[in-house]
Amino acid sequence: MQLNHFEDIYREYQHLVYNIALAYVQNVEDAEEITQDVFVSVHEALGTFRKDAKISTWIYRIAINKSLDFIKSKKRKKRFAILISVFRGDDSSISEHTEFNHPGVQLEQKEEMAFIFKCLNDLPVQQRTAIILAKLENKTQAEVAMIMNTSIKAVESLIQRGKRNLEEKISKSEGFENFRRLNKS
Amino acid sequence: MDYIKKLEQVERVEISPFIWTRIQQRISQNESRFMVSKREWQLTFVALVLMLLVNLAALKSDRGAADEIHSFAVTMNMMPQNSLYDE
Repeated sequence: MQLNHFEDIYREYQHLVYNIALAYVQNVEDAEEITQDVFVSVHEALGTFRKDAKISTWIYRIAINKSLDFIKSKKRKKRFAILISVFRGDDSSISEHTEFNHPGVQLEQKEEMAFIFKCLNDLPVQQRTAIILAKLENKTQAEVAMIMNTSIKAVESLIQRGKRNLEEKISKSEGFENFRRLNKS
Repeated sequence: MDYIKKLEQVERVEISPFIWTRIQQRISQNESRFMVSKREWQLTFVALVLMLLVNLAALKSDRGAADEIHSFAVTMNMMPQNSLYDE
């Protein structure tokens, strides 16, 4: 596979992949790592890519899967660190906390956006993906359906349920009062 | 309050230009790892073929030496074999 062709793909889709990763992990370092993983996978699998499919859809799917894998492996590491700390009796190994560091969020909104993203991260994967694609990536429902390999009706329902669950999670969350105070000021 | 509207305010950002270099580095590392394993298999195959050839050559030369001893024993009217009786 020629590197020039791959470089063209990278130049075209680098920001798309990075923004998708940021939407899932809300951390610059993690999003950069996911972006690298995505393009290494794209390079390896480009020979097997079916030309009838849209390349952006294919890259979106890889980016979403890699982001979800990254989150899963991070959670696994954290669980393992907790287990180790229980046996060792110290909690120095549980400092795997990821700081909210999304460069697309303005500084004055950082606290409230961190709160909204925290609740968004608790949503079921399908609902979260539909909201990220439709609201953060500004994709139409038809495009979201194509990326998620589902019907437009299903996407519509996922977004509605996601929205409702998000509101519920935010209002029940511990930081809600603080969040309301931030919104009033 | 519509929290989804808040999410729509998140701006799109550009990636660091150094990521391309890191990706290239990772790809070349992966490729060199693949090349090393390929070379290892090639070397193993060549070693096996060489070992087979050496063994065949040894067997062939051994058979030639046995024939020579047999003909020498016959010319010297010696018994070329250990069996005492003709079968």
